[in-house]
Amino acid sequence: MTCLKIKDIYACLENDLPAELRTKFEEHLKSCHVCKQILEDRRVYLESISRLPDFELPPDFTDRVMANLPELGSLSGVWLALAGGIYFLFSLLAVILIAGIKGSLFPVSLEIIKYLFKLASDLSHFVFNNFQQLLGLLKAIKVFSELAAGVLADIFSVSGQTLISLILGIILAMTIFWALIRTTRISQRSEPHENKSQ
Amino acid sequence: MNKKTLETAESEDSTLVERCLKGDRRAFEMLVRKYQQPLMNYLGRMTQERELSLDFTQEVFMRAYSALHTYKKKYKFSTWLFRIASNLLIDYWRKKKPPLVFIDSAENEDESQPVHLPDSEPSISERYEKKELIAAIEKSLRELPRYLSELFILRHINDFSYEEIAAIKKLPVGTVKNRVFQAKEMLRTKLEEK
Repeated sequence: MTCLKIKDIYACLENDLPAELRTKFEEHLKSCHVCKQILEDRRVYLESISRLPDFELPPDFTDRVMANLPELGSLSGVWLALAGGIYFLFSLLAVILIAGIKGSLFPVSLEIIKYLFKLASDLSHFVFNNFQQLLGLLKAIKVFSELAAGVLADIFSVSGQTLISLILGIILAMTIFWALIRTTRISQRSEPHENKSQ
Repeated sequence: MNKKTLETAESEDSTLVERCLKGDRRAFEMLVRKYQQPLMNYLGRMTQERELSLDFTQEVFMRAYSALHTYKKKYKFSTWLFRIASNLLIDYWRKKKPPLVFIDSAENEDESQPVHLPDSEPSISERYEKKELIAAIEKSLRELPRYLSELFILRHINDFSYEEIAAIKKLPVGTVKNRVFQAKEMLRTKLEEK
């Protein structure tokens, strides 16, 4: 075997040389003092460069990092997706509820909405904590929808009623959606202060 | 570290990331404690300014925390974190100075370099006292082109494998190996010249 290239000598020292080549090189080393000396020289050199000291960090560096952390993007994302999905369904059901106020769809729609809120409470801790408030809101919506449907029935045709119901449903959903995001952000901002006091 | 230890460390990181995503800030604190020193060593040597590298290390953690939901478990967390750090440096240098000119044609110059006769002079470690050697290495490292010193630091100071460095820098593994080799020999020559 001929002498190895410098690059392969480094590969040998870093255990990055193919096994077959390594075996041949080890054999070669027994008879080649030049390669042996280069290998030893590079070994000492690699050891020297891997022993550089650490850059000093202030003792309170971790605390400083933790105190300045921004909001966790994922939490907002999850909440937005969850809240958006639930309240989109809710607004659709609100339309059905208002449109079918005098028909047989009303009790079914009401049941579905109640079930949806129950499901939301199981899915998220936030919704669970606010379930009572949301249920109260649902009752208020029911009263409002009965009133609105009564007024609308006297003024508009069936298609007009559906359109207005849809608009109202979207406005309502957006309002709840905004309130939910605001609450989530406030609760996240308060976390670093809680940690500081620990 | 052996392969099993590395796998355990990576699995621990993934678990900590999952806990962070569920809102557990203590899990992120554990990640900060684990990676603050390696990041500081990398950023400190790249910028050569202590205060700046402290700010950058903090900024890396802040960026990582904000983007934690984009982290994919199939990648190593350490690699992902250092890619953020590397991008931060690129942004910094782009704003500070004109972009670096990469002379890739010179990259393979030493690849086929044959063994040369060892000189009769004492080896690097024999030539310097320990403190002097450290100072000489640090000084020589600063004199290397940035695209070489960065890969050298990731390989020999942060102990990343060539594959991990390739993932951090989005370069082919062969290119990383060539550049690290170039950096090593260039540094060694500079040390011998001093």
